[in-house]
Amino acid sequence: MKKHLLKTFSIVTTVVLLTTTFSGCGKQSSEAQQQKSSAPVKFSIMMDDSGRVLKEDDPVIKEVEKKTNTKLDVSLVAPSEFSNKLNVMVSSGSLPDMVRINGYNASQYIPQGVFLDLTSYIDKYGSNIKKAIPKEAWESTKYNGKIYSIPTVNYTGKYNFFVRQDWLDNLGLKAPTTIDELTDMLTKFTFNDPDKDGKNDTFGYSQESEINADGSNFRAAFAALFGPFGVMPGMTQLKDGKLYYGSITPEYKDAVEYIAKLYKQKLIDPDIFITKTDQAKQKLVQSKSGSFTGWWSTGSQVLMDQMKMNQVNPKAKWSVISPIKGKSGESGMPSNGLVAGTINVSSKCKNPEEVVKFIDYLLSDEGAWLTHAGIKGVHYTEKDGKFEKRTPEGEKAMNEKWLDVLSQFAPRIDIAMEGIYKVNNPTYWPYIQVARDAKQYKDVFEGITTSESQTYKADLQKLEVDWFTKFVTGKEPISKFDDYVKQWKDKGGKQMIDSFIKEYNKRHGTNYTAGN
Amino acid sequence: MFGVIIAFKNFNFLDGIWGSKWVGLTNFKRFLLNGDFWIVFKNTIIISMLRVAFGFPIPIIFALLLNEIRSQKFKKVVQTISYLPHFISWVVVSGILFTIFSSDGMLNKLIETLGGHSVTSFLSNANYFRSFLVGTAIWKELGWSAIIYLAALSGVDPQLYEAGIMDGTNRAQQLWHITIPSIRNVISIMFVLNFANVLNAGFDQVLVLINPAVSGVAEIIDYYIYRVGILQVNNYSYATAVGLFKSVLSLALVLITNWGAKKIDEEGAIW
Amino acid sequence: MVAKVDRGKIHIFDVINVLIMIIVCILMIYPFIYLLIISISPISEVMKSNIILIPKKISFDSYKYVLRYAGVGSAYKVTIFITVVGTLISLIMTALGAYVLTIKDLPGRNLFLTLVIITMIFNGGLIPSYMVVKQLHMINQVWALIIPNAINTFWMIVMRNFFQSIPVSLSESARIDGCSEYKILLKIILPLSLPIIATLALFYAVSLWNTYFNAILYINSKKLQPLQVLIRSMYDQGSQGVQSDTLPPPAETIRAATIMIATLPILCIYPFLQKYFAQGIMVGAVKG
Repeated sequence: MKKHLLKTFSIVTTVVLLTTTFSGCGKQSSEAQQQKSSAPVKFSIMMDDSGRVLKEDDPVIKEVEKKTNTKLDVSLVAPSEFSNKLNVMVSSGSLPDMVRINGYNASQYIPQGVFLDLTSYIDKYGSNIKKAIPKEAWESTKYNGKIYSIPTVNYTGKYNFFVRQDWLDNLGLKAPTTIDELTDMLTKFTFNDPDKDGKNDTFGYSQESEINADGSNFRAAFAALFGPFGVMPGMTQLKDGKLYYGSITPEYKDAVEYIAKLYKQKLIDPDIFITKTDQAKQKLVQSKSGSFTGWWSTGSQVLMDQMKMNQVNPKAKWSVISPIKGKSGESGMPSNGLVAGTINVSSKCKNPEEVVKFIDYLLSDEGAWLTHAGIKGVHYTEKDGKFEKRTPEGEKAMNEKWLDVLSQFAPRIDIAMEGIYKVNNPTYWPYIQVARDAKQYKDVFEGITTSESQTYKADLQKLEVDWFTKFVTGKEPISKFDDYVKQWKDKGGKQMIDSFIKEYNKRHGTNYTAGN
Repeated sequence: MFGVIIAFKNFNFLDGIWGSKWVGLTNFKRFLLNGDFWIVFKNTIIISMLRVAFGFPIPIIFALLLNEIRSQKFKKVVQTISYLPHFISWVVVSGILFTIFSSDGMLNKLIETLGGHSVTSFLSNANYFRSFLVGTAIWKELGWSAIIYLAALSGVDPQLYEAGIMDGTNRAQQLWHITIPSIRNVISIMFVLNFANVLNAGFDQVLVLINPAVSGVAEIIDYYIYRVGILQVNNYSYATAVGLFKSVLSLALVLITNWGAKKIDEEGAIW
Repeated sequence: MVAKVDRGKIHIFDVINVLIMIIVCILMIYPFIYLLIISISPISEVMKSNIILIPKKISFDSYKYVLRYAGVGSAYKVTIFITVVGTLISLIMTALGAYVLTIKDLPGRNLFLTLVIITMIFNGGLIPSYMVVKQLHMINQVWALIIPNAINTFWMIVMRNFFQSIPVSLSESARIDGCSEYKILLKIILPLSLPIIATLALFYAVSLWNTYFNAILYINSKKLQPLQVLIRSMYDQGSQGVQSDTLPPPAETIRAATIMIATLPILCIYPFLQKYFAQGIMVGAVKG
């Protein structure tokens, strides 16, 4: 017995010794390296990993460092823990020089003096930055008229309505354009055996990702069905000088009633509220459902998975159709917001000019091509001054997910999409075009956060999804809609909307009032 | 520890923990007067108590049964297999549960094959969801929780059994008069300590299994903290206050059970 | 032990008991088998059906893909380091803490116990914890993954309880013989507590092996990220958008393979610890 313990102990000590020696070595060599180079500026960067992975001695990052005479310390954080990490770093004063924050989340920190006012530096050193970012994005991220955030933009149109083309063909149907045609299609997809396997095993409509219990994303799952009713939950629209919050309007009630009717007739996957993202995708690939609302990017991944299983289902073919039109012509998909995220500089940063120069390089054509496609000639080839294709080496780097790490820090949507994606993925490019060009519902309060919204929004979102689920699954009759609206207003909804309107009027010098 | 003072402040990053303004009990008032919170509170208590009532004794029974297995090899194999589910994260387990319990999952297919009527999914049925949570949690942690009792059982002096045999006792009597008294202390201390974490009610599990159809019965305090606290920076103090409330309650539970345990046996209590 | 005593007679109880254990085994092993099969199946099979019992074709592509992933090697090194060193440190600290609390006439023992319980129930939250680690200059060091959680107070109290069950007469007679407290702990208490030490070694090792959140919080450098962080990012990427027509092996099989790669090594330690669970292991020690 003692012998065993001794043996274990000696193994343990050996491992400890080995590992400590090892880690000792690593440290020395990196220090030595730093001394050799000719005093480059050191920057630390933190961002959400966006599915990328850091590679030691990543040649693309090395190249960026060479061009900008910098030494970068990039850290990628898992998206689910990003806000935790950011919070602890902010409050302990150990924020890196630059952080990339998603959406408008930076606005919560700016009033607290966490980030630096960059206005003057951008005027001086940021010509490429100014060129790359549209005015609207600048306006929506300014704080008290000053630039604390460098916004990066995305296509506002991301949602597509995906439909099984081969099912339509089997049933002799045309792509639906009106609500009635949609209902007809969903009914036939459910009951008329669209996959011709003799089994009643299909649904008309399902989803591509799970519906969160906190209410943050049920709009996305049902967007194609809300669109024709002229309303999007959670989005406020301006009509005749008045502002209407979507989730409590009569139009919303009509939409919910319609969805509930479809659900009752089992045209919608009865498990839609409980299905997790993985299973949702699997259902689509297994041909259990005939339509869904999806981002062009994730939607097209479903399509690709499906292509991989051609031997399973050679006939499966998805197509993207224009949003369904409502009774008086309303249609559209929710806008995903122009601002994808912001680059913010710590107020403790020692050399803001250098930081802005560095970001300016990343957003310049030369810098952006380098961060998005890799090194010319090594990772991709050019033809007539345009991107031609990835080299095998570039392909490998892409699959290993380290090729375009910095493109996620300072993205240029024009280069990422029209420059590269369009050439690389001719099959899916049309989907993006449909999504990009579709009519969109835009939230007039996009980018506005008030202390009221921070207090009440979480609970209101939850309230909305709870009632929506009850209405749709038939647990509560739609006649209780007024009770729901009253509850919504009583629980802080009124205060939240009023605070939004106040802030909106302040920013735009308007004098709108609440419509509902 | 000193971080709990955030609960009595309006925390902001500029001023830090010490510099932020004191707001007294404002944060506590906000949730104590909030109707939603009490639903969450009720869910937490129900789920926690179910976990204690079933999740606590079952691993002990399992350990005792396993201890009665004659073949040492079989015993080791069972022991090793029984703790496998502990290593699979809830995210993965939820996917597997879905293939079994969804409307067109394995369970319903089985029922249909046997000629029965398919039932609505456990995952969306608010009446069964809490039992479903507790049941799957027991399944996942059964073998793992039993390890500590197996360790205790291995400390029982075999001479006691030999003496028992000579007195002509049967196995049931040995179990009752020798085995259980020998591990009684461990059972007791585990029971008391259990209450320190009981109000966590399995956050990881709830986080992946909760869905809009059942959130009315499944939302627990930790999920509430996550929902209102993590997503909104301004709610940091509020979330801390809710957390503090939960901790005070846990402490009270530990003190009460400890007092009870001490009444029964001095050695089985913490203090 | 029981087997020895009752040899020969097979009761109806034994039959039922074995049957119960077999059912438990089937229920428990199902998810593992499920993942194992998915991890070695070609994707078309996995996509076609949720339930596969026997793989039609075996392919290790997904394992190859995961192991080629940048940084798996260094992540393994970090994880093995924190598991081995951390378990050792944790066991030493826990044993010391537990032993002190068994001494009946320790001044302020109840106060210490109360403090221990309070830290078990209350925690200061993320920001204060981070600041403590930062002030100890442990940010971006593997020690930040070992030291802050070195003692699990729950298990310390359980260990104390085991120590207490050792007859007091043993340590008292040693004390009379002039043994120091350290010697009593080392020579008398610990050898008599092998089952609980093995148990805690297992618990600590597994929780250190699964270090995830602390690593996200305290570690910035990619080189020092433990395995679980890498595994989680690989796992999450199953649902990320893609930018190219050529795809690596599909998400489901990769995920199953990453879980296997991350879990199998730590699963292997239990059988080694099991021998300390054999009944009667302490008899000799008590007599000698």
